[in-house]
Amino acid sequence: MNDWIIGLEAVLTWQPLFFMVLGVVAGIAVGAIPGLTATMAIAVVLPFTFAMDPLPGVMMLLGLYSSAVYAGSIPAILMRLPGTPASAATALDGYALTQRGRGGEALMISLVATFVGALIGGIALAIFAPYLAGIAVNLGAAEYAMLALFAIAIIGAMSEGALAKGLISGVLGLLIATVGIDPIDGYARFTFGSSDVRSGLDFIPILIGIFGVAEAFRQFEKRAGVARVGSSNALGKYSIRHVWRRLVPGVPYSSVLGFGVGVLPGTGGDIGAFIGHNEVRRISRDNRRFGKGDPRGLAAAESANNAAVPGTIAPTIVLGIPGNSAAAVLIGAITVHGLRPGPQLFEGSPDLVYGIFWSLLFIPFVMLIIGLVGIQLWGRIISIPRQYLWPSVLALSVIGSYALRGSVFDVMVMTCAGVLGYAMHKGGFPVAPLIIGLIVGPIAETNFRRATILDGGGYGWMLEPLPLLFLVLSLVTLAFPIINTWRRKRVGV
Amino acid sequence: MQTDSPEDKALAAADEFDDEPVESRTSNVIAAAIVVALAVLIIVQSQFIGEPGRPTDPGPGGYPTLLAVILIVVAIPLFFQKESGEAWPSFKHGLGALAILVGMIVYAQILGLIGYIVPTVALILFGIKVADPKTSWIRSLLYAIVFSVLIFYVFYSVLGVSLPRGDLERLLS
Repeated sequence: MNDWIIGLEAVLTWQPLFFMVLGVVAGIAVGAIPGLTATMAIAVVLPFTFAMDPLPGVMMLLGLYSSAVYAGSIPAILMRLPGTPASAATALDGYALTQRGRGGEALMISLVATFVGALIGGIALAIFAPYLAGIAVNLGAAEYAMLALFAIAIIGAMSEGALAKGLISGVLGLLIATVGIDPIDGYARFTFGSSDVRSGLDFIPILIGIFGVAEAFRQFEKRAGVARVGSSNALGKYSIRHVWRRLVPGVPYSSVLGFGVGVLPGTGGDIGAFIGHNEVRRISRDNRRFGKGDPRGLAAAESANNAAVPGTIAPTIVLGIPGNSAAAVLIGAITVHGLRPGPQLFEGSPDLVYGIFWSLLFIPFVMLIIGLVGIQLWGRIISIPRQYLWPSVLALSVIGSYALRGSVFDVMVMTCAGVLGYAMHKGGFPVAPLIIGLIVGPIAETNFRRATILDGGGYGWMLEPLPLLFLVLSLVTLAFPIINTWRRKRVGV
Repeated sequence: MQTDSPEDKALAAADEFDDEPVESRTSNVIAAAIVVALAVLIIVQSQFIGEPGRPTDPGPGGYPTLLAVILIVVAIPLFFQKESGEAWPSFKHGLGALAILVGMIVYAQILGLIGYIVPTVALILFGIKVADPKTSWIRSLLYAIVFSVLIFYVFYSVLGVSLPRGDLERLLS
C-alpha cells in the first residue's frame, strides 16, 4: 500500500500529468492516420523524453501508445482503413455500421469500449502483473506453437458459413508470411532474386492494401452514382447511456481476454482484438451479424484491443522482456536513465513502477474526455464528398506504406494487396483470416519447428499441459461452426 | 446474451447496404483452380529452397510445402460450393477501378524519381475525375495541391516521416 501511495504522489504533479495528456492528444492524431503505427510514433517521440525525468517521459509514451491504439479505430470505422494493425478487427463491424448511417454510434461504442477495456486492463495489470509475467516468461516453443494454432483455428470459426474460404484465406496469410528469409536456417524463400523481397513482406502495407485500397477500388467501381457512405447527417448523437446498455456483459469478458493475450510476449492488441471479437460472438445469441455491423462485435474488438495495452506492459516492467515492439521502445525510455526493468525496479524505483500503474488507470479517463470532445470532428470525414475522400484515402495509404521503410516496393506490395483484397471480396473470401495468418505466421513456423527440433523430431510436445489446452480449445473453436452449419442444413434453414 | 432490442431487429433487417452474395459455382471453381495451381507452384518451388528437411525438422522448404498441401485439401470443397461473393462489375463500371489500379502502378514507379508532391497531386486529380468526371477542374486541382502539400508538410516536417523528395520538396522544406 505504501508503494501505491508513493506512486500516486509521484503522478499527481503537473509535469507527469501534462505530458501524459500531451501524449494522449498526440497519440490520437497519429493513430487516426492509417499507416502510422503506435510503435513508429513512440520511436519518433522517444528522443524527446531523454531530457525529462523517467516518470513523465514514460507517462507521455504510455499516453501516446494507448491513445494511438484507440484512435486507429476512427478511420477503421469511417473508411474501413485501420489506423493501426490493432484496429483491423474493428473495421469489420465498425465500417458496416457507418454504411448504415450509424457512424456516430459506432464511434461512441468504440470510445466507451476503449474506456472500459483500458480501465479493466489497467486494474488487471496492477493486481496481477507479478504473477502473470512469471507465467508468461515460462512459455516455450511448444506453447507458442499451439497458441498460434488456436489463433488460426479462430480463422475457421470467424468464417461460419464459408469455412473453406476462411481457411484458404488464413493459410494464404501463413504462406505470405513465409516470403523472405527462413527464421531457423536463414535461407531465402520465394524471393526470385529480388533484394526487396528478401527482407520479407511487411504486414502493414498488406493490411493497408487489403482493407483500405481494396475498399477504394470498390468505391471507384461504383462511381459517384450510389452513395455508399452515409450522408452528412449520418453521425447523429448518441448518449453514453444508450450505447452502454448494449455492451454489457461482452465488453468486460473481451477485455479480460485482451489483457491475457497482451501479456504473452510477441502478441498484442491485433491478435487480442480478433480473439475477443470471436469469443464474444461465440457466446452471443443471434450472432449472425457479427462481422457485418453488430455493435457487440465492435465493442468486443475495441475493448480487447485496448485492454491488451496494459497487458503488454506486464512482462516489460516486471521482467524487462518487451511484450511487443512498442513495449521494447518503452524499455528504452527507462534504460536511458540508467534504470533497468525487472524486480529490482520495483524495489529501487517504486515511484516509477507504481506511477506507471496509476497512469494506466488515469489514461482511460483522459481518452474518454478527449474522445467525447473530438467525436463530432472525426465524423466530418464522412461528410467529405466521395470523389475527394477516396483519392485522399489512396494518397494517405501510399504514405502509410512508404513511411515504414522508405521503400517504393512497399507501395507496390500495398497495391498488389489491394488487388488481392478486391478479388477476395468478389469471390466471397473473408479477408480477416488472411491478416491473422500473416501476423501469427512467423510465430507459428518458428515455434512449430523449434518445438519439433527440441523433441527430436517427434510431436509429443503437443500433449504437454498448456499446449494440449490450446489444442483442445482450437478443436472446440473449429467444431462449433461445423456443427452449426450441419444443424442449419438439417433443419433446412 | 439478450439480443431482442428494436435496434437489433432493425439492424438485421437493414441489409440494403450489403451487396447480396451471388450464387456462382463457376466463380468458385475458378477460385479453387487458382488456389490449387498456386499451391502446386509453391510445392515445386519449395523443393529448391535450401537443404532438404531432416527427420527432426521440416526444413525451410518443408513448412511451405505443408501449408500448400493443407491449401489443396481445404480448396477441394470449394469446387462444389455455390455461394460466391459480390457480383463482378459491368465493364463500364469496372473501368473506374481498373483506371485507378493503373494510376497507382504508374504513381509508385515515378514516386521515387520526382518526389512526393507532383505525383500525388496527379494521382488525386486523376482519382477525382475518375470518381466524378463532372467535378470542376479548378476545384479538383486546388484540392489536390492543398492536400498533397499539407500532408507532405505534416508528415515530413512535423512528424519527421521520411518521404520521397525531389526539387520541389527540398524547396518547401
